[in-house]
Amino acid sequence: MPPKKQASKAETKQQKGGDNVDEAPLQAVVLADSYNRRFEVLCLDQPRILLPLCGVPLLAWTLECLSASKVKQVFIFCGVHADKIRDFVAESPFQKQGLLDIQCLSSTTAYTAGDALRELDAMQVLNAENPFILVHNPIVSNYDISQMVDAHKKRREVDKNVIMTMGVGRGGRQHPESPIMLVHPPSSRLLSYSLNPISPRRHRVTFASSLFLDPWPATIDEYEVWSGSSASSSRGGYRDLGIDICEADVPALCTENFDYHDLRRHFVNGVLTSDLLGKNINVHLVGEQTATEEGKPPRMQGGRYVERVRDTRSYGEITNDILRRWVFPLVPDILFFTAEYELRRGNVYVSRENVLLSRTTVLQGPLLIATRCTLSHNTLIQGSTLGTNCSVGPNSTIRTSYVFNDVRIGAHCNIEECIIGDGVVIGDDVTVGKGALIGNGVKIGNGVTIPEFARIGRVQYRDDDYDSDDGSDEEEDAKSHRLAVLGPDSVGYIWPNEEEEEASDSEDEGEDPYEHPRNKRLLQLGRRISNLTASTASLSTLSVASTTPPDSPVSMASSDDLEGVAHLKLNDGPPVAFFSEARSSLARAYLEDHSIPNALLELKTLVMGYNSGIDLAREEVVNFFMSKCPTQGGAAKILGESTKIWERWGGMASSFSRDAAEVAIAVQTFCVRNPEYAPWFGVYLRALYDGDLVDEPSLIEWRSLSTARGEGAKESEREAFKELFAKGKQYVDVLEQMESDSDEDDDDEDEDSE
Amino acid sequence: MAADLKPDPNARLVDALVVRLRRRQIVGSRNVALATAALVQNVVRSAKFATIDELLAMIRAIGRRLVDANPKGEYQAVWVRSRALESASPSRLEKLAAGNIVRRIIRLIREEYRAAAAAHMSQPPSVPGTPGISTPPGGSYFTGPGSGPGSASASMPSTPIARQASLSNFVAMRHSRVQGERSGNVSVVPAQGGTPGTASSTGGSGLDGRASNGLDFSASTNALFAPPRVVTLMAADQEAASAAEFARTAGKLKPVLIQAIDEVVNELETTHEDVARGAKEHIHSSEVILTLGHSRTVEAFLKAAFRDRKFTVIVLESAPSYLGQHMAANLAHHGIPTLLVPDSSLHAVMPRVTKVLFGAHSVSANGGLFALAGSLACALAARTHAKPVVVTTGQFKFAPVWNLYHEFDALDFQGPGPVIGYDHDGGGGGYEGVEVTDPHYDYIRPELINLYATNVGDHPPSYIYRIIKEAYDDEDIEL
Repeated sequence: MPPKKQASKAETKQQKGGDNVDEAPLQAVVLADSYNRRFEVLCLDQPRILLPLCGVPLLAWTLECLSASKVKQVFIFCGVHADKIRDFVAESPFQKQGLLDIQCLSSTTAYTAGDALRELDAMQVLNAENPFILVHNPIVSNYDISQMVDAHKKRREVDKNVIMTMGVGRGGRQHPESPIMLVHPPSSRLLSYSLNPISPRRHRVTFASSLFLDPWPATIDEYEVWSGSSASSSRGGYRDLGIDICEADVPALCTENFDYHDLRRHFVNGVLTSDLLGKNINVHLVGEQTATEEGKPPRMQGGRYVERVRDTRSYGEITNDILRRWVFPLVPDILFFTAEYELRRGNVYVSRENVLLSRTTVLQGPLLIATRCTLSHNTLIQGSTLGTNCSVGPNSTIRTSYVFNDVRIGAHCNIEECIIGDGVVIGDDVTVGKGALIGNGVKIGNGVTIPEFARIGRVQYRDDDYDSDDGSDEEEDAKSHRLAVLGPDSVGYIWPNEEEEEASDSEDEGEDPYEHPRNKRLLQLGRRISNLTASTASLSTLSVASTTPPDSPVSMASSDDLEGVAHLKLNDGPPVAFFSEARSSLARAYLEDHSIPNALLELKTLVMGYNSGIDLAREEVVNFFMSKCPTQGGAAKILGESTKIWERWGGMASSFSRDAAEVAIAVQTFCVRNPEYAPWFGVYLRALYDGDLVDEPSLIEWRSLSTARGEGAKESEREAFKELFAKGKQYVDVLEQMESDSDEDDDDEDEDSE
Repeated sequence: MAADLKPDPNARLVDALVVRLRRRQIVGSRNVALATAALVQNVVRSAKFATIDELLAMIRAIGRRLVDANPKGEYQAVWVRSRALESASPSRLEKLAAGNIVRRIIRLIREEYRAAAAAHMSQPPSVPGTPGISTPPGGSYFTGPGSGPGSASASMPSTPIARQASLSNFVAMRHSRVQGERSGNVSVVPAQGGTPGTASSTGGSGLDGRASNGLDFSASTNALFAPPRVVTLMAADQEAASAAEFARTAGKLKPVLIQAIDEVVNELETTHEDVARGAKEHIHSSEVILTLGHSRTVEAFLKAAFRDRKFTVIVLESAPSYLGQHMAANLAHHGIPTLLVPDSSLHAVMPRVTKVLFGAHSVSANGGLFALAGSLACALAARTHAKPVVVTTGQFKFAPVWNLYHEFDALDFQGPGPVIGYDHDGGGGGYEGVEVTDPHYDYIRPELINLYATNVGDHPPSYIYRIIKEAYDDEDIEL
């Protein structure tokens, strides 16, 4: 590998520099607790940060990344199971080889990240002079975070008010937790940060007006809106990496503002919107060429993969990325804290120790099989990881699943897209649906089918206000139900559906939009973002299955309501609010006699705001003005009144239509739907013509349109359409004749009517 | 190993180097070699040792640790051809500069020691091996070859017997070891490979062929070498008494030994210049040279030749690392007429080319080499168009290993980022569902190479084993 000499030389120099006494060691803080319950069923007896990812605890991935980023001192802020984290750290090679100075800080009183920072501030362990790296979730990365720290320091030299730099990555998959950020890239300044859950989709992003008013920013042309990847383009979006470079002000500010809980929702927004504070937050785009990297070929620039394990969805995705070598050189066959793996064709990693594969075993990469695994004949493993000491019975299939250690899987099983905890025993002929999470020590009997997205724990589910006294004895029917789902002689309890828990919280004022049940559901392994409706059927089975625990709100979660999903489609039309608002806007314009441009502006804003499209808008306009036309009093009166209306307001309808024939169609539709108008359709058509809204060619075009004859209309309305068409046709035919007879007459008529 | 080294203050240094190697913070065989040499020098400087054995064991332990820790990922052959071989894929195809340099240092230390010992006893040792090291306790020596290949290979490295310095010897060592690892499954093929003549005449390709047939002849070679070993041991025992006396004074030799390591470091540092010295003999006026990637040896070579000759260089850009672009920039900066072409035009430009020149990452004893991905395509294209292929390399890249299993190889698989980009909507920024394979090295068979231009002279591939033989002691081949 002849290249990279300059790079490594520079690195040696830097390392020597780093060893100098004058330079303070780089510090990092890892928040070990997730402060949410996404992994709870797998984390009953171990902290989330010690869950294995490709056979290596998440904490080890994080520490390896930090250590490679020249971090010298790490504080792990532990919540529950702090002793386990301590034990792991004491045994880890980082501590032993002196790569990192790791200290575990434990606190059982911190319930949010804000609490953690407050306690950190109180402990006074951080070096106040230097920025530290704050890692929110376990990260898997080959990016050198010290570059971000350097960039932060440089920016701070320019602007003393920068107290934090947020890591932002480019590209990557769609994730339900991607923010929308308003950024000024030349100065890397973050101007606004808003959460943008995928479901229910938010239709508007609000930016504080103070950003644009007094004074109007001179550099507004350079502002950019950064949002997450979307389904509509193959270009990846921007994502929040959950890595912050913080000055000592950050914990201090958290202490001052005791209501800061979530660092993004509260802290970042609080700092950005506060006029008094005068502090700035910057962003750092990973992979953006820095001065030191400029001109180096890609290979020398180091990796730029940064991902964090936030939920079971990202857990699965990151595992696959690791197996596809995105995090090179952190790949299973090189990592020192794993057993030795042999890399085979197609990103298949098989441990070199005591793996027993049958001749008829089929391995379809990317996958990983750890030591002492035994695979019987006719097994198929695809895109999965198997922990140490697992056995898979004959004719079983495992696809895209993540199996921890010491798991026994029986014969003829079918396991798809799930996570199976330590020591789980699965009997024969078991099907585990996708998205299922099976906690440590669960035993599943023969011949059952575990519903999709089920969560099965060794102990019963307890929610926050769980009363420990009355939970010990299980009701008899619940038990029989449990045994029916999990099979005879099974061990374990079915937990309620994830998105259903904590339902009470959702009414809170400061609700986290990411924790909205619909969005939360998308955080689960096995959910497809692109095709949300696909899982409807499975969800209903699941809610049946999860009715087990008495008094849980499960039964309320009826088979499914996926209206929220509709918002993801482009053409689903505007919400009801649009129609009412449009109607009232039109009414106002009509009553107060607004000028056409003003009324139009108001209506167009509504159309844009609700993304309703012009077809609906035209329909709405025509409906409104048609309703103003009289239906009584004879043809002459009706014609006169209607013509007046269309002369005055016709511009509204024509601005929402591509050609005048569409207006005619809209009028026809209106008449079909309102039978009292139907007899006068010909007259209305004439009024349109007299009111200069439609001209003769358009009417002729209308006559030739198939939709005018009722094609494409509803069965019930088709007859009415035909009827009206006949009426209209008469008039148009007459008109055509008149036109061809004498143009002058026509002109005269026009003049008359004006 | 870590536990053994724990009390040693140098353990931390070794660990640190291991970590940096693993994280790819040091890449490039020369950098690795330099770092290793510096480490060993440090160890020798601070280590306390009574006998030379202790010191050598210490250095060897470091070497083993470096070799064990680092290159496993790097040298895993994936694209093996037969299924049987796939499951028995060579677990220890290690041939990194780290191992080489440790071997070289051990050899030099031993030489220094030998010279000193000779001066001390004022009589030449009767066997070329050092008496001092040949006295491990216990009767492990007398476990004959019959006791199983595992134990035989374990005891072999410490037997400094007067073996015939020949290729077959080399093959035997290698094979008995592989055999030991596979343990069992012995198919003895008599005569073939047992006689030195056959093996050296068939050369590397023959060995490849045989290995992929699944043949092993270590049992026969073990048998071949067993009798002389026992005999020399008797002789060594007699000498041991007088040598042991001197061995205790080994600590005094420290400055000399450090100097010996300095020599190695110097040799490494001047490799480029030494290789480039003969450049004008290889490059003639108005030649068109094709090269790829960015080998510093090649760069120095071309620059040296440009002092005397006028020629043109065509550089392949070498995607996805695009190291060729840097090479081209450096050459052009030096005034050499340079043409940068994409890899895809390799065959199109080949007819105009008069010589192909590239660097190696490491050269194996059969004359085959590992080089930047694309080199194999280059060598094959050159073969098709009947152009000579010259490899410039330093001696430190010669590794006493045989690539017996693979005719084609792709090694050291990198992440997909450089190939597919980072800002799409798939995992990591790639495209969803697109699998990427990005090997960094190619294995090139010896038949495709015409000449190795090295700092120890110019040699055909079939002669590489000899250079390796001269560079390292037999007993160190197994670290």
